[in-house]
Amino acid sequence: MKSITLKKLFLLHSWVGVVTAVLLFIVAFTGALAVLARPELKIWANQSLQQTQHIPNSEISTLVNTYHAQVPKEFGENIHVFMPTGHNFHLLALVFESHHGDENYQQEVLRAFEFDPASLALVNTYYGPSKQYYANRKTDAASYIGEFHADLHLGRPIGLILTGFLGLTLLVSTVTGLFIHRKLIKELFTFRWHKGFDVTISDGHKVMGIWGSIFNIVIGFSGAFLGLATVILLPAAAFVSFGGDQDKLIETFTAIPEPIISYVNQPTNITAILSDAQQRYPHAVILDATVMAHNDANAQVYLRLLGGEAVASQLLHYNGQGEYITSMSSFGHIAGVSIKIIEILFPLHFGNFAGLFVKLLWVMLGLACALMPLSGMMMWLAKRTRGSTPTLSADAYARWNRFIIGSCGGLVLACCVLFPVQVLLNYAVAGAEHNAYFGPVFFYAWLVWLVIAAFWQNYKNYFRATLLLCALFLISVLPFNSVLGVNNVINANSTLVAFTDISFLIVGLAFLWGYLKTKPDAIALAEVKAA
Amino acid sequence: MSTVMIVIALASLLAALLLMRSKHYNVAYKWLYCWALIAIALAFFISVYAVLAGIVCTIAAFTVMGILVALSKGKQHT
Repeated sequence: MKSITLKKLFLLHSWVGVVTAVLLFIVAFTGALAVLARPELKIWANQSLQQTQHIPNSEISTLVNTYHAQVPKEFGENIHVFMPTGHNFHLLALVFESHHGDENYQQEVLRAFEFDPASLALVNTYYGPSKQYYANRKTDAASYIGEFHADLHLGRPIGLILTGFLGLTLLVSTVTGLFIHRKLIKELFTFRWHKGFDVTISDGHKVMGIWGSIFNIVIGFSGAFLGLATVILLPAAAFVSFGGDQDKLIETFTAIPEPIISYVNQPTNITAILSDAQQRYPHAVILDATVMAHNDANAQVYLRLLGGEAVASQLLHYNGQGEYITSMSSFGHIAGVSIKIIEILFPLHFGNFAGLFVKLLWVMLGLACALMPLSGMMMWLAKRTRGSTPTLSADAYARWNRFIIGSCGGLVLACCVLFPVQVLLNYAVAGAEHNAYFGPVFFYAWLVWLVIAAFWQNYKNYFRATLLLCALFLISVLPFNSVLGVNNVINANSTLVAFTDISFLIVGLAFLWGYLKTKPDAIALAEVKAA
Repeated sequence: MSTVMIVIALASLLAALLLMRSKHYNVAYKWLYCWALIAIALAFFISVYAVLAGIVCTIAAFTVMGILVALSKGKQHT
């Protein structure tokens, strides 16, 4: 490749990286945590999910029949049964939907009944607009971080467009990086930690960039697709093929079409359907069931499954009598290779296709991906302070470092704060009232640490303080949970809770080790230069 | 059983990476052994998970272990 082209690629790589570095770190770091959000950390955060239990299929069927008889007729159009698996809901939820409203509402409306998974006692009820119900479901620390990763809590579509765009920039940075670092094989194992901080950072950037290139390309592409599909690609497809009518496009490609109600009464055999699905896919988890035209001769039941041998989530279709009809992807039966690729983009992005081991790999790769823009930014800044005519003064260099620690370190700190807060909330605050606390705690912790950056002159000590605080917050999870939590490491009622608490302790100790290994600086670099 | 198979697969990948990094073997044999070890890891991952998941898992595990080997036993010269 011509040197002038390489130079242009290098400029593109540098500027795309520098402009988006902090945002890319934010999205990649929260993405790495979000991999474990559902179901592992959601189970850890919700006591109702902590004791492993299987709700008998007959009990689910009885509940559906009992509560269907109690709701007005129009609410029987669609019945959703959300299982307490930790993927979406922490309680067993029966949701009766009316797509055309009722006497009080002119919009999609629902009645929901939520039950404790262990006792099956009714815990919550809801009547009102559908959107409000799904938007105000009880959240937890890990889900809050996962939702922040998806749209930065900026709302949709702005947040989704931004994260989708960051996926594209990750893709551009990875591809240009592969072209400009031509000694790929030679630099695979080069990491010179004895040759100073700048060389170490540069080698680390190259090692993680070369090794992680396939992962970064996959995550960048799938992230861009997930962010931009609903806000740009879907309207564009509707504009091209359906005269701009998005509802018609969704109706055409939906995997769950509306059945024709026969008004002939015939009991829907939910027990047999759930049992059949469990027998067919014993290693998969049933996330939810959608019952259409319940107790009608034309009733149709769809089960959404995750795991087992299938990489992507699958939809099982049954008729009301309990006869298995077919298995399909979430997009239904659409022919073509492209739909297969789109289907596997989701599990490839979330890393949820093969158990905990793969999730841990995804977490490590996600963290490596988060360190890429950060190390690149540090290289860019360091380069501008070197030479006979540096373009960046020592003061400006220190300010930039403080800004990076405040913004990126502040985000890490804000995430660490959420976990002990979750334990305290579980003890002191009931149910969905938790939702009101996560936003203020997360954003104020982050903002306060960023504002402190303006006053803390010695950036190395500021970095050490960030490590120490992260360590203290994470280490505090285990003792807090041991004292306040129902299931904890002492009584070992729940293996997952005990394992997660110990994991927080280990990660906290790793932060503490980092704090102790980083040497304190008595005088800031800027002060040294000024002297 | 699955855990044992995953551990063996990871050990094979680690051996392949250390072999890739070493300079003590004839180049042709070195790459042959590397590919053989990666194939063993792939076979184990495929037997634990399904085919597609096994292939993706092998690539991901190889990437993570590659980064860890490079960072822990990195060469001190270019």
